[in-house]
Amino acid sequence: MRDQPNVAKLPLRRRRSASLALAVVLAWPPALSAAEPFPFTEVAKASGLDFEHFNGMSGELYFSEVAGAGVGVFDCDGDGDLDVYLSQGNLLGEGKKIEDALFPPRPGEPPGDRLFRNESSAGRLKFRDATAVSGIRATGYGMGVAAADYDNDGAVDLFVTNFGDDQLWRGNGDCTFTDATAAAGVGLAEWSVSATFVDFDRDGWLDLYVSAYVDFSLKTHKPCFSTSSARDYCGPRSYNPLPDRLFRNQGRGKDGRVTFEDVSAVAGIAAEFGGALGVIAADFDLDGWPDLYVANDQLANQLWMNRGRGEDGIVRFSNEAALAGVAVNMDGAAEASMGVDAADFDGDGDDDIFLTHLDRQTNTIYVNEGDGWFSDSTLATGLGAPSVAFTSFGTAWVDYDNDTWVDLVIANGAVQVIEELALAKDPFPLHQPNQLFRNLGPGEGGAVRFEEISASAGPAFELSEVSRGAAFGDLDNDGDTDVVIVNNNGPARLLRNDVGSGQAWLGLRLLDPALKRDALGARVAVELEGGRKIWRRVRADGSFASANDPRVLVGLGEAPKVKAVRVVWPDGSAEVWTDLSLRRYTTLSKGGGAKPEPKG
Amino acid sequence: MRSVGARGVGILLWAAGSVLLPVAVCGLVSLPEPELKGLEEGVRERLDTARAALLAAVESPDTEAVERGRLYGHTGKVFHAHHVFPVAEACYANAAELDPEELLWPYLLGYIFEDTSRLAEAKKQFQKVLKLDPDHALATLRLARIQVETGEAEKAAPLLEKLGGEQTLAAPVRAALGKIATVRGEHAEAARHYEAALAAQPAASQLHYPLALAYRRLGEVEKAKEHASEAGTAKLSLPDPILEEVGSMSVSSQMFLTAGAQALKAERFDLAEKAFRGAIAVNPENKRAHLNLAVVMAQRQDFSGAEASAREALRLDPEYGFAYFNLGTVYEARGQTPEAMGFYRQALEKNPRNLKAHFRLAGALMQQSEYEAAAGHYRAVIEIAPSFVRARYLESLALIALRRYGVAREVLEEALRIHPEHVEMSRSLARLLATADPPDGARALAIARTLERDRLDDVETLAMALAATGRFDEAASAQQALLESARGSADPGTVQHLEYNLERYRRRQPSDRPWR
Repeated sequence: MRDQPNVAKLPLRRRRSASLALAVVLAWPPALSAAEPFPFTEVAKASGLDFEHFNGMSGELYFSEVAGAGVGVFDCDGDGDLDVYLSQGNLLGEGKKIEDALFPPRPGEPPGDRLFRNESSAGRLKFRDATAVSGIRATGYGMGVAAADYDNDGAVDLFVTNFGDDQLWRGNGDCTFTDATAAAGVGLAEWSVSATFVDFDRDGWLDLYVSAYVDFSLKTHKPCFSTSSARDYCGPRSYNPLPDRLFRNQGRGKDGRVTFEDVSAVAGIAAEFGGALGVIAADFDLDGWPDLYVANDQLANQLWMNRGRGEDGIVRFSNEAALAGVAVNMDGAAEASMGVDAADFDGDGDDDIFLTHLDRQTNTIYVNEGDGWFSDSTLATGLGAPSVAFTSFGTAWVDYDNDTWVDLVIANGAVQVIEELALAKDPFPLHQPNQLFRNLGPGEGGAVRFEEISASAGPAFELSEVSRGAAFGDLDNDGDTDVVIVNNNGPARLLRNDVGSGQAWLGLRLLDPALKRDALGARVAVELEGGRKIWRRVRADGSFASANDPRVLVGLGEAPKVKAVRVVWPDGSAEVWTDLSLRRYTTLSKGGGAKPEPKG
Repeated sequence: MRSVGARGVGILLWAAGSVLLPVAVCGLVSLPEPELKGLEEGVRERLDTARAALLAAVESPDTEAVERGRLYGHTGKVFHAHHVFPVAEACYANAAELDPEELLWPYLLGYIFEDTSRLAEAKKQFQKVLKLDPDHALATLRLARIQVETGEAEKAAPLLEKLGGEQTLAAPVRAALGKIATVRGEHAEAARHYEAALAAQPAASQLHYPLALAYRRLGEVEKAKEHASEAGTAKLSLPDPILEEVGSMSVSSQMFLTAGAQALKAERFDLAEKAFRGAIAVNPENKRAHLNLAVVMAQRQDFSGAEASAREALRLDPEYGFAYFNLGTVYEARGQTPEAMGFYRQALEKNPRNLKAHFRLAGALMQQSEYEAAAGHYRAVIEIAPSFVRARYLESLALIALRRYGVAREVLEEALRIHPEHVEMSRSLARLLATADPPDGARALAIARTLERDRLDDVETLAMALAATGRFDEAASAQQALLESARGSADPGTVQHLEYNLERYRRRQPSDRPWR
């Protein structure tokens, strides 16, 4: 946020916890420790990732203004490092001029989404704006991005979600792109936010799930009011939720084009919907077929369990969220789900679910019990109370300190005015600091708990901004996970991880050479001496409106001894590798490993 | 740089004011002076008056400390009633300082902290209340609920147990105990508490969900499914006379409307009616308040009251399409279908995309056997909401009634792609496939086999499908058995229809009549 009063840069938790003595808080120095390095350092501008989000607000309180935007990290030129795609907003309202914007874009700031090429060397992060030469012309009202190689040509492609027409950009492998939206048949004119590429029918071609939000448009804009009767932004319940879309990849046709067909109805996912903001693909019941979990804003979430291929050859889904225990929270209340991630946080070999929500609701953790059932363990893990004061969006389970247990990074920012900030004359009183939770591993009785360490995580977590999308990946290839955060009406942030690489790690890229692409959905078990297995999944989805590093980065702690790495490929076949080098990235190609020994 | 609400619409309530930060003076905090221009005019006046009255009174040297405390507290309630929490918070803090024996002030301050997610501060305030009155049930409950949320379930449990005799709080108390039991993994105990909570507050449909999950844990899957299907959005309510009294001080029409809508959603029709009447009392010209009151009255089966309220809304705005629709529902509920249809048509004149009006009108037309028009309105519904499967099913019934079997089949095929497990549609499609010319016997039989075997309709469908595949003997046998069981119980038309088809099967011909 530009020209912000100093008060805004103080951690909100402190101001909130002592709101009646705000003057005292202003003088309270942050308790920073000089002894240990902070886990993250904010280096966006210093590294050339100079991007400022423009939300186009002009006082009309259009609902979409406060929703975006997302970010993707992916390797667009195949040079082994992660490039960055940032979604941009636009001026909203017929007849509006740029001078009508309450927060105009910086002078000379080009409109549209931006692509930054990673030109880092010797561990020094460096980015260059490559939008102009990329061929990308994404000047819609940007929401998010999904990244994967849908046409199996070895180059990563982008699906860009918008408040308006979505776009599919086919990668040429050199960070240039060609608009393939119409040719591929995935153009949607609705408001979509998150998307994921997933090979749901296991035919080797990545399909596309697009989460659609609500039927708000500038034409259906209506006045909404805060509880104090003043005008405020509307919530999702003021509009009708839109059905999500599932596009099946039909593969390459005779004309050489790769096209999709909308199978939302036939696959069953059109039957239920609730205004989705987040989506993640994972095989929750470990039956070999990827399932989908959809995070809906203030309506029940869906757990689309993949029922596999039927006798008629059609792959169908059924929504099992209610009885599985992941539709609504343990009180039976639907929450304003926005960001979502799935990972094995408790080390039992299956993927658990984490969801971010509005303030006055907790973020929620659903623990997979391995039998298709989940438990809301928000209270038991200690994640409930620290989240109720925040509105949270982007998130991921990442092992930031490489201690073998995945932690949580949460990007926060309100969607309705925070009274204390408004009182302090803040021009954009929605900002909140982000949060970092450390996974403490199994404690007494084996239960895993988290500890919030934001207060000691340094200046990167003292920034108070209106964060939305967050993408996670090792941008400097040093063996720990960095974070790129998009702030609504604010600068993008790059949180460089400065601690993880101090521990041992194993970096893996899982590649299917026949498909020339990352084996999204493959599962990896890193077996340590002593028998413990660390399970991870190849994925690029999750968070909020964002795309993540598809590589698997496994923290190994202080004294690692890896016995073997077992890979379960998306087609169900398994291979084992041994003697892999630590502290470097290794490509595991399907067919290049040994056959696992039969069980028993 | 301009602020978010600088264009007069003003979500930024608090941007102006000479004293923005509460500064400690002699143990008291000065009141924030927020910009109130975004609020309703009447609300602004009320708040300005309250503040002025307070300042005049507290500045008087004749006012005793306790009295000043009460004045602060009263003003806090006025601001609280209008959700201007920073001022209310400062007022309550001063009231508590000046009038330390009064437990209302820490209670209300605790509520504000709780509502704004400052749980540690809220806890402290409720503990203060309990020092003044250890038996204060509401403070005990609120404290215990916060303890549950902050991982202090062990402290909360005895407090909740202590509230066992409080009948008015039985539902929230038992629900909180259920939550504690769930966290402890004591699912039988959890189920017992949630059952009791639901018995105390049956409208709180959200409670069915944790109850379902408790039964699921206990391996009682059928019970779990039953409760999961009953789980709704109606929240558990906490009857709080203190907050109700504060709420009644509001003069904001908009706030009454919001409160009424929430109560309506929670199926608390008594509270909803009170809120909408409150909105009308503040602003008798508020058409939405009248219309919402009509909705509540209809829910309470007071159709005369509902009609009067809807007509008042129409008097205020003769173009108010929702009011016409509402009148339609009232007349339909009274059995006056032709009049209801007139109102639905008027609603559609005002808004041709009124989905509910199309749907209701289509239903009424079906009752009047006007299938052509009904099918048209169902189609309109589908165009507005393509995933509305029931509309597709009903459209197919209208088309079947018109004997447009081919089109009906297309409609069903499309609908079943969305909802493949819809039994009625599957049955209809199987019959249409079996009786088409030429029949698609294989598909008809495949679908018919997925249906139940203990329903007359389904057995008849199976017989039709068997005949359509050329298995006439089996079809005739099934039809014969069906006919025998139907004689004496079914109406003559049905028996005649069964006989007709039986005769066709005996003559080794498939059925040509999907329905009687």
